[in-house]
Amino acid sequence: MQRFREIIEKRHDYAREWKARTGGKALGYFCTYVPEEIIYAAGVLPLRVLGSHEPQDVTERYMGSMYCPFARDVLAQGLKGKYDYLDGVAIATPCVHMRVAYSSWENHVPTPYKYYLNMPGKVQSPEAKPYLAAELALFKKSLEEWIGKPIGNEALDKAIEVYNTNRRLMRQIYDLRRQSKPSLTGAEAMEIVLSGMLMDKEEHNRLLADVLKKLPIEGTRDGIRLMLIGSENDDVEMVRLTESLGGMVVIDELCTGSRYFWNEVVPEQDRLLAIAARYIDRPACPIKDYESRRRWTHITQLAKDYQVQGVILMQQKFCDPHEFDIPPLMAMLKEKLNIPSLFLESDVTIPAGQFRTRIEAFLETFQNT
Amino acid sequence: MQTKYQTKPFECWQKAKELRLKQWRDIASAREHNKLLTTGFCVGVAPVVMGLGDDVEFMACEPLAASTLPDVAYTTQCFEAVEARGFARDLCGYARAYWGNVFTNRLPMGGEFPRFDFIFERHWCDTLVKQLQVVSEYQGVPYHCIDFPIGPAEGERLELKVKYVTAQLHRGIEWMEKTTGHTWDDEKFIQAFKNEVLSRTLWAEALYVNKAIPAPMDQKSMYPFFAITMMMPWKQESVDFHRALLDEVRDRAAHGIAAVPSERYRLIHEQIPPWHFLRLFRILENYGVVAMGSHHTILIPGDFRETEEELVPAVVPPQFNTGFKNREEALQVYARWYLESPLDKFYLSAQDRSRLITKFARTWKVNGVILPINRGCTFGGMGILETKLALREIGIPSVEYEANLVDPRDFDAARVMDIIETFLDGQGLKPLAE
Repeated sequence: MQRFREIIEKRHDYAREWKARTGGKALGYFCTYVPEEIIYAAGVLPLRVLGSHEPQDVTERYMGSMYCPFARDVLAQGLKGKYDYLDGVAIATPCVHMRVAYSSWENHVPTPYKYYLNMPGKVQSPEAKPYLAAELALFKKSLEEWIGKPIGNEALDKAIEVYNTNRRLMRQIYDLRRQSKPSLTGAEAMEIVLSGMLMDKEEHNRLLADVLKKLPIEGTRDGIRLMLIGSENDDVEMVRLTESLGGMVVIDELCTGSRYFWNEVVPEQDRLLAIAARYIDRPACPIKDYESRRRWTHITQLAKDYQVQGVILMQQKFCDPHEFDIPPLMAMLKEKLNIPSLFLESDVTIPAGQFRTRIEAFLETFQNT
Repeated sequence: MQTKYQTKPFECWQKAKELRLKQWRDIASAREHNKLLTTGFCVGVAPVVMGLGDDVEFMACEPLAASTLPDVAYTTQCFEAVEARGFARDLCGYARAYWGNVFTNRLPMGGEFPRFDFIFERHWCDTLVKQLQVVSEYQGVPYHCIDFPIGPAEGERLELKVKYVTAQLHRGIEWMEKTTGHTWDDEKFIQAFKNEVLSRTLWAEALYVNKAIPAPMDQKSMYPFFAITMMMPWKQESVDFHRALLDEVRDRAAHGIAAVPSERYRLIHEQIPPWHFLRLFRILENYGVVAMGSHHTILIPGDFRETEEELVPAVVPPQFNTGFKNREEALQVYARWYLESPLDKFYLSAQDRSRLITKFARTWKVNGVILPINRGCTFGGMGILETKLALREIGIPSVEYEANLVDPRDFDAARVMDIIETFLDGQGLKPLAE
């Protein structure tokens, strides 16, 4: 477990070392709809650009304060030169907050390669897959021009296999949390997912396989079984705090959690169509979850599979994609699943301790029933 | 007040008022007249719905919100009804104004909020599709969206988008036929599409004429007119109205009839206006300042295209004169028309917005720009602070203020005016003597 934490804490050192070791390029992405498989097949290290949770004052000239603190924190990292080793950045039509951050990054951070991938908004449309596959072909072509060599089917197949292996291993890790007494904490699980976004997936796979060998199926941990839902959230401290108060985060529905790895690429002859299908069919971000509410179905299933007793909805301040979904979601949890929920609005720089009282009160309600 | 130019009221004003009232009446009485009623984004949705026939009415989302907002007490009740259902106060102001009407079951012009037969939308702004998802669930009515993804649309990527949108349109038509039991008629669609494009290009022509010094039309006089472009552009009455308006603007330009008789400084007040504080434009007049519009009055209602230096009214598709070969071609032309619009680019990136704002400034010969950081619309705020830097590069001064242009509870008029008046003072402008 220590290694996963080290990767998160020393993410920039890791990426620099990886570049020095392999001679390869590194590409930062702003949203998990960017198809990492194609980047990986190009021999480039894809890594998610995350914030620092430190107060900053460098984005005010470029981004209004009504944009989410996570997005501003991401831009701040670029402006402060923390990602000066990146050779490229990419987005795939994310929420407007991340688009604003990306746009200012393009203007003010001298990253050499930049790519905006058109990702369909309506993933429920049957037309979305072929459209995305065609867009992926253009992305692949652009990457090929950038790296100066073609990306062959063999490389794509290998990348798909590496990523699918990672997803299978992550699902096994998450399966351990279904147990009545899980052998790993929610904070540990979050660190495992986050580290995977920041490192070479083959290496991550080896670490996962090793951890899976060591972790017993049944553990000793106990507590109120919680699901964490919300905006981009890499706040491991918050999870640690919740678990120190008697909660046990057994599952999440986060893009920094299960949504990132939940489904695999189903291999088919047309590799790009197969990759497109994976990103279209993945558990959706709220802005892509229309007309019907597929998130509700997915969350309901997770709640059942992980025997969830309560839900913590943690939303980044000003995150309107989640602001649209949270009231009807809380109603659905209460009325259809009889699961109580706690809503917390966060800012990446707010110390987790400020939520202590509210989380304690929420957890106490379970002891009274 | 000192005056340099002659002025007079717009003759079209009364006609615009009559048309707006008629449109609201048509919407409110749709059910009574056995018509289908639907709702969606004010740009480019209605023509597709109108393929279902003449017995369809369409309530454009944004004009409802804009009609709600000037009445502070009514708006506050709307917002409180939304907040009582758990929705955040910092959500899109137009969405909350629209929902407020739905949840309180009323319309600002009187009567109950109508029940839709179905909802048809195009995904352009993320907020809009989520807004109408909530409405469809609240009313229990079917909902369908066509995705127009925001993103680069040059060359091959434009062609992919046209293909993607066209394929979805075919499916959307099937869905509407199945949902309503109506047959979708190509000719009805084409006529509505032509009317909408004509209304929007005529509006663009009128704005282009407005380059004249003195400006025949100012921002506050644009609002009652462009409401027609937003509410009912697919109707023949709208085309007729816009022709009359263009004639009047041309006539005023030819005879030097000003919107602001004391005009001595031209500026852009970007974004939507502070609907609950439209008095702002009267205060500007007192400085001899004429507000020339914003992307809200230029790009949302108007069909423009870019040249190297400026914006010019778009030329209608050639098929409007030669005819369409078939449905496929008509849908492709429709999709391409909106995908090529500078409107999409404006919301895509800071770079695109900056380029377009500098073209606004050049086209309408403005001296300065006010950049509101609108807390009530994250989509509309894309890159707005970056435009300040771009304007500086071409020597146009600007000032920004942060406020909620939609929610009167989060708008400090005194502070905003303090900022604007300080800016004007810095531009050497003093209030004109009464």
